Amino acid sequence: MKLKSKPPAESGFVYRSLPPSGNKINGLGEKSPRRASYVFHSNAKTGPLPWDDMQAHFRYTYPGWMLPELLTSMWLAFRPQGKVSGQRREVNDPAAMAAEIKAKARDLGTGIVGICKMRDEFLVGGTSSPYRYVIAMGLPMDREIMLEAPHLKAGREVLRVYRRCSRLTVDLARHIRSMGWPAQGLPINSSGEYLHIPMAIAAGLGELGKHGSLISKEYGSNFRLTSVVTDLPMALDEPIDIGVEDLCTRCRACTTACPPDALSDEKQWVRGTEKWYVDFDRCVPYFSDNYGCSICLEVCPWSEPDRGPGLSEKLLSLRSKTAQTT
Amino acid sequence: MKSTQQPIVPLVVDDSLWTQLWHFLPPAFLYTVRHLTTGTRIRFRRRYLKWKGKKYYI
Repeated sequence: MKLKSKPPAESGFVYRSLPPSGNKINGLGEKSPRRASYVFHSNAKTGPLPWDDMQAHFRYTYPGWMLPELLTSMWLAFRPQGKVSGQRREVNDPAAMAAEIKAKARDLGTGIVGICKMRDEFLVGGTSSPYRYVIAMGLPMDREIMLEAPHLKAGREVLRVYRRCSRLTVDLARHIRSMGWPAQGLPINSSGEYLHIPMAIAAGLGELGKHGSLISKEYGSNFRLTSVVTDLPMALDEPIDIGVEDLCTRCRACTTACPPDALSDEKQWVRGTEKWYVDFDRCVPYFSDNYGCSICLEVCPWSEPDRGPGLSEKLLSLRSKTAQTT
Repeated sequence: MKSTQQPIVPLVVDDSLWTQLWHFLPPAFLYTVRHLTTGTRIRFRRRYLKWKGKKYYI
C-alpha cells in the first residue's frame, strides 16, 4: 500500500491540561527491567488513568449506528469464565493435545495459533495469573477495507475482527472447560492485565516490527490478536525468526507514512529492553481522532497478501550468505 | 467517561445465561444511553467546531 498523500497530523482537539507523558509511564529510556504499567484503555479493574479523557474521545468517534457492534463485543466481554466440567480428561500426550486444541481454534475461525508458557512479564505490574499456559491466536482483517485506513470503514473492520476475536476466545475457553480444565478467554474490554503482543511472540506467531505491532509470515501486520489462558497441559511452541529484524532496520515504509511521526528508525530502551518503540504521546492523539488509524499496519511490506513467506525466505537466505562471506 | 463509568466485568464462575444477562444489561443500557446522548453531543460539537475552524477541548 502506498498513500496517495500523507494525511495531516493535526488533531481536531486540544487538551485543557496535558496529561503526564505516556512515554514516561511506558518506561521509555529506562535501562532497568520492570513490568508494564496501565496507560490507556481503563476499566473498573485498572481504576482511573491519566489518559481517560482521550479514551472517552476515542470511543465517541464511532457513530451511534455502530452501537450493536460495540454492544456485542461488550456482551462477549462478560463471558470470559465459567464452570469447569467435573469430568477431567487426562492428558498423556501434550503434543497430541496441542494439535487438537490448535485444530479446534482453526475450526472456530482463527488464522494462526501458537502455545507458550505463562510468564510474569506477560502481565501488567501488580497483577498475577493463576494459569500456566497461553494459547495465542491471530485473526486476519479484510485487506481491501483496511487499505482505506484511516477511515471509519477501517475502524469498523477492526471492531468487527475484535468481536470475532472475543467470540473465538470465549468459545475456545468454554471448550477447554468442558474437558475439565480451567480456562479463561481474554475478550476485548476485559483482558487489560494481559499483554497480547509478548504472549504472541513467545508463542511463535511472529516478530515485533518497527511499528510496534506483531508481524507474522502469513498476514504481515494485517491481523488482530486474542488469547486464552489455561492449565490444560500442551506442547509448547518456540519464538520464530522470519527475518523481520533484517527488513525493519532498512525499510522506512511505516516511519515515513506515519502522520504524527510517532515511529523511529532507531531502537530505544524501554523497561530494560532495547526494542522498536512507538511514541505514545504522538501516536495516541492521532489514533484517537482517526478511528484507530492503522496506517503503519497497512503500509508494511509484510502485509501485502501472500508476500510474507517469499520475503522471509529471501531475507533469511541473504542473511546466511552475508554470514558466510564475513 | 471515567473508569468508574465503564462497565464492570465480573469474573463470575456461574456462566448461566440469566446470570450473564443480569450482569450485562445494566451497564449495556447505561453505555447505550451515554453513547446516544453524550457521544452524539460530542460528535456534533466537534463537527461544528471543525467547521468554524476551532478545536475541541478535552
